[in-house]
Amino acid sequence: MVRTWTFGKKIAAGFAAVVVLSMIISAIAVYALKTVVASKDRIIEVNAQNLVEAEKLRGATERKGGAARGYLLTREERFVEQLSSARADFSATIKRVRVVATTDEDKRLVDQIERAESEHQAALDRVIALRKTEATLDALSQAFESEVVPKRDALDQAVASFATLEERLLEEGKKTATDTASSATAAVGIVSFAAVLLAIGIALVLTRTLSRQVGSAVQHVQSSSSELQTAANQQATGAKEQSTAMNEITTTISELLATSKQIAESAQRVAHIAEETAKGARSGEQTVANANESIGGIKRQVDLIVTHMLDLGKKSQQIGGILEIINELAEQTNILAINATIEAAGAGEAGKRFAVVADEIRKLADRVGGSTKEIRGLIDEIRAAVNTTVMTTEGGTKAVDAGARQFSEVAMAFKQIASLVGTTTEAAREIELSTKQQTTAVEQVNIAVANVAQATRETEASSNQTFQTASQLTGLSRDLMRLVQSQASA
Amino acid sequence: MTEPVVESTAAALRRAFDLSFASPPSAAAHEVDDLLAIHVAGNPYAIRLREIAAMISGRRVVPVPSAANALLGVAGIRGGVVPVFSLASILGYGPVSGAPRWMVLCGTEDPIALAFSEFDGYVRLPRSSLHVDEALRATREYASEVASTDAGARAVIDIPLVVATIRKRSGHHRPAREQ
Repeated sequence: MVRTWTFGKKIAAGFAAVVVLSMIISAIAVYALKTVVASKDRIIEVNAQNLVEAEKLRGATERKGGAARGYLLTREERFVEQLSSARADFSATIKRVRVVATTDEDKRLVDQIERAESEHQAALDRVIALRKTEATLDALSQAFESEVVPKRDALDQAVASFATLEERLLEEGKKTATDTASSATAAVGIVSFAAVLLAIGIALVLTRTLSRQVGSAVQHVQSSSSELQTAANQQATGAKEQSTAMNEITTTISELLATSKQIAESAQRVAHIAEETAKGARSGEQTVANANESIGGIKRQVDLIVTHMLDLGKKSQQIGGILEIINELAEQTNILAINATIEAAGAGEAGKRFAVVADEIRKLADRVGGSTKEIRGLIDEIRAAVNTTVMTTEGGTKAVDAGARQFSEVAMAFKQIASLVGTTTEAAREIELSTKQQTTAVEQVNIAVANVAQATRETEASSNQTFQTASQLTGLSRDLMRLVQSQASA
Repeated sequence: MTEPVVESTAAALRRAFDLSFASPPSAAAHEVDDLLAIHVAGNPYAIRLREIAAMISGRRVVPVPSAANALLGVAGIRGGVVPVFSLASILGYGPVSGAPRWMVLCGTEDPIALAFSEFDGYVRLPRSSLHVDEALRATREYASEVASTDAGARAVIDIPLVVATIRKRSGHHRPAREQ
């Protein structure tokens, strides 16, 4: 995890460790100073104060003794007041001492002093009361010596014991404070020495780590700079090739643009021609419809002709039948004439004139037969012509039907042509529109390609700049490597 | 165009008919010979009009059993039953398919009929147009003369000979009839 720390973190961690050590040292020093100060304060505030209070107790005792002697000598009330004032001071002092007394020894001595003072005061009060009784000086002196002085000695002894105790405690406090100060000084010195050693260690570790990592990083930077230099060189070459390609693309797009414009113009012309063709197809469709109607009329006429021809054929057949009858009559007439001729010949001279008539009848029958033959020939020709006409007409009808169908197909084809031409017109318009859009798009592409070409040239310049920067970076990394290696060796 | 032709034909017929009444009688009967132009089995022949009794057409022939191949049957002609013979069979052409339409009646009292299929027409020729042909006589049994017509030469059938031959073959003699 530490390996992934940044230089700032590592340096901050080193400084933090040093700061922590300094704070520890400072805390230890502060603690030691506070301990020493507290010890000294205790000495000053308790022991020295108690010693002063002991001296004040002595003074109060002396003022009480002096005031008592003065009263005893003078019997003046002011000495009684001084005595009371001195005793009040004594009591106040005792109260303060009792407040600061912490040890059992102190409290016992204070109780002892307080008891001795009470007894001393009682002795004084008795002596003073004796004085007020007009007793003799000797009695007074004796009473004083016997009652007050021992109590005074006991009180002085108690105060002296208290003072001695306080002096001893003062000395002990001084010694304790001195020992505490010495211990704090030693601790601070040890911790400071340890801190110095730790700071040196941290500095060494940081120096080695940072030198190693910075050196590795610088090597990487140097390697990367070389690669960047190579890449920049390649990029510059690629940008140059790209610029050339962009120029070619620009030329091609310009040609494409011209072609698109030509296509748009051609599509426009195609659309115009398609519209004209559509008009022509619609006109042709109408013409074909008219022609189809005419063909329908022709077909009806032809059907009528066929009907009439068939009637004509039937009539000619009827004529043929009648002609058969006539021919039969002529034939029979001929036979009768021949038989009449035979009979006339058989009648001899009397039948000669009849024979002439019969001969004429026969001739007439022959002529009628010849005429019927001619008529038969004509009728046959008529029938043949009728048959031919009917067949031809039927062929014509079929042809008309085929023509009508073909005209219908032509009309359908014209409709399809009109529809297809309409579709073609629409397609041509769409092509025209699309080609115009394409032209616009190609113009935009041309602009974009020009921008790309400009960007490519800028990229080429930037690549050259990058190449120079990479070269400078390589030099800098080399210098930095040299510095780092010299620091590491140092 | 046909109408003027028809009119001219009608006019010609009318003129010919009128002329027949206006012109004098034709040449003498001994100078001409009246012939019937026929076809037998596809071959042109001629029959002298004076050798037949009548010419008949379209009569129904009722077949009768007979040993004679040429006998087609009998037909009712002029109130009598007349045997009908095939002229083609008699002339040696063998049986002819189909019933012949035409027939000539030969003889008056015991007539027989000779049937044939095609009648070409009536022909009047001068006697000079008829001549004996020896080669024909050698090849044809019942024809010895040839008539030269506009349509070509025709063998003239000797009807009496044919009738006689038929009668001879069938044994049909007048005395039997008379009996």
